[in-house]
Amino acid sequence: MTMSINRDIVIAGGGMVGVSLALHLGVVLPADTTILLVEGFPFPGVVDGGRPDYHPAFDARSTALSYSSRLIYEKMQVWEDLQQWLCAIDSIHVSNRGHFGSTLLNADEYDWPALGYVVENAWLGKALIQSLYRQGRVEVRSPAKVVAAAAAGTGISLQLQGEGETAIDTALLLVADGANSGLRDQLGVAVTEKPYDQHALVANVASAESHRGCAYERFSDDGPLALLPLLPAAGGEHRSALVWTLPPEHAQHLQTCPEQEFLQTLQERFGYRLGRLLQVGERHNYPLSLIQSTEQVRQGLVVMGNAAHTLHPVAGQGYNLALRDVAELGNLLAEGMAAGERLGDLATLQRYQQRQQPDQDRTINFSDRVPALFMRTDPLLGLGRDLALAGLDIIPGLKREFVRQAAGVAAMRGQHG
Amino acid sequence: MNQSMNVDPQEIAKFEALASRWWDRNSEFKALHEINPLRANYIDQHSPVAGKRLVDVGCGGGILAESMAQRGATVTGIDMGEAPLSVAQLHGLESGVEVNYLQSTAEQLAEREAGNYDIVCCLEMLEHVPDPASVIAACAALAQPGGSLYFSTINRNPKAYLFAIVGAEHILQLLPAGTHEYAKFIKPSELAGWIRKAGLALADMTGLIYNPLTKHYRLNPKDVSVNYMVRAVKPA
Repeated sequence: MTMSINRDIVIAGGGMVGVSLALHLGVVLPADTTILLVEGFPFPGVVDGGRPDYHPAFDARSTALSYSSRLIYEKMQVWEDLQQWLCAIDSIHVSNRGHFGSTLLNADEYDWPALGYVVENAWLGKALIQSLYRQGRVEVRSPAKVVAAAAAGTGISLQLQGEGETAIDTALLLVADGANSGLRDQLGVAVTEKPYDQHALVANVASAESHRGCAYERFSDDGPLALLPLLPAAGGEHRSALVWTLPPEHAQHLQTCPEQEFLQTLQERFGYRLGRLLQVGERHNYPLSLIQSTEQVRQGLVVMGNAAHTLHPVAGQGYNLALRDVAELGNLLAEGMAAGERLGDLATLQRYQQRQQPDQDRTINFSDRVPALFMRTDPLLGLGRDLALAGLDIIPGLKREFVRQAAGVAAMRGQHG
Repeated sequence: MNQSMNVDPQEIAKFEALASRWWDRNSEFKALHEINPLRANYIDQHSPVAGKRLVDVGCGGGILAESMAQRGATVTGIDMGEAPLSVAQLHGLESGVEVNYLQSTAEQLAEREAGNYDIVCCLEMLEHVPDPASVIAACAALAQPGGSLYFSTINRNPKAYLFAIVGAEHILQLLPAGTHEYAKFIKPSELAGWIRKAGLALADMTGLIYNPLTKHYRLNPKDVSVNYMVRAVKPA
């Protein structure tokens, strides 16, 4: 019989959200709180002075980090490590195929350091794991998997697969194992899913000219296209991250067609603002849907990240929302513990849900409206759409600024017929 | 069916006809699915259910019963509808969540299992029976001394009529038309009276509010004007 060993907190899932959660809890919770992170992919070992190897779970995709994410990562002391991998978005250029006129938003006009930051997930993952090792606060089990969880007493009894103990009792289980969370399903937490009947084609693209820190958003009849600025490749090539929303058949074709055909099609759609498009990296293609778990908290349980809400990626809001959830949960757990509440107490967790609900609602509704807005003939009338792709926060202060901007732009367009 | 049983055959027939859609979140039971996490957490917060014996009176297709079992309770679910019970049993096989389902009235079960349960739940059920007071007395008998009981129903006033029948059934179509009969709605004062008469102490009361804009339900202790839930305690 396996002995049951207790951990205060178990995080199931060591993706970007799971590691961020571990880091944040490591910072805000008392030092004697035991935290275990369980990840199915093997984490890199510690090599040359704490620098981890490449993490295989992080693919070629990029993430646009908003200002709120920057603040959160600064607090976790990740930002400094991350900076070398970030490409700042200094301006956003919005245009519509077949229409004249375009909008340019500049960070300078708002006295902001940047409108957002684009980072390749591979580097983000690397910086996060490096910080986790340096913090040295969280126990990591990988490759290992939480295969079953059951409420027991005031905590949760877990069954693990992988080397080491197979039975662990924890006061608080944080489920962060992604959109298709097996653990969430095993716990009987249902999801609602709304398919968008669109696919996202994601790839890195090399161009003849530099993006000069500009994020491009181009609208066309069959879907929006975004090119987010990336740091130059090792060989100095100018690169952008493409997020292209397309009808499923079209996306599938473009994923597998020869490179020249792909570049030609993209060039026709996008135009020559980046000069000639020279090269495309590995192309990913996935169906888009809004997935929401029907419950996020139970006694001793919180569902986090994509397991809780998977958003339309074109809006670039999902990861930033997940990080705000992480920050809020950590803060409320710390407050609750300081006030003498038991870790995993439903009252604390319900406070978390109440606190995050308005932000989640706002962000989810915004992301959900984006695909529909994209289909309208005059995209400049779509309120707030121009900030959608850059991972800009829609937190109230920033949103007001942008709504004003968008409204101004719309009015201007009206004058010109 | 026994004439003396506290059952309205028309009410049973209504839910028999709908039973197959009980676990379809986009069906007539959508609202029930949406409020369930709130109810389940309310119960779990006030009486942590893990390791406790819990009976769900009027369990229907087993939505609350399963969620209580998922939270670690040993659950018995009773109902008088045959079709909902088969749906509940079938769903249990599919989900792997263990609940002991019985076709029984609360009164019948209380004769056999008096004092057998730590927690007794009777949610969204009292407004469907001819004699709610008798159900509450039976629930009181099922609870062990010191046990907790949970009742929920719909208030009887013009606002409740407007929200629960006109709004929920006809305008928003959250519920099938004919789900509720205004005359059977229960005022909190009436419920409190029956609870006292059954020898129980009223411990807590909260409203359950639907916001049609955010499409969220939430608990609000200050507004029991439409849907509401109470916790009662059986003296030790």
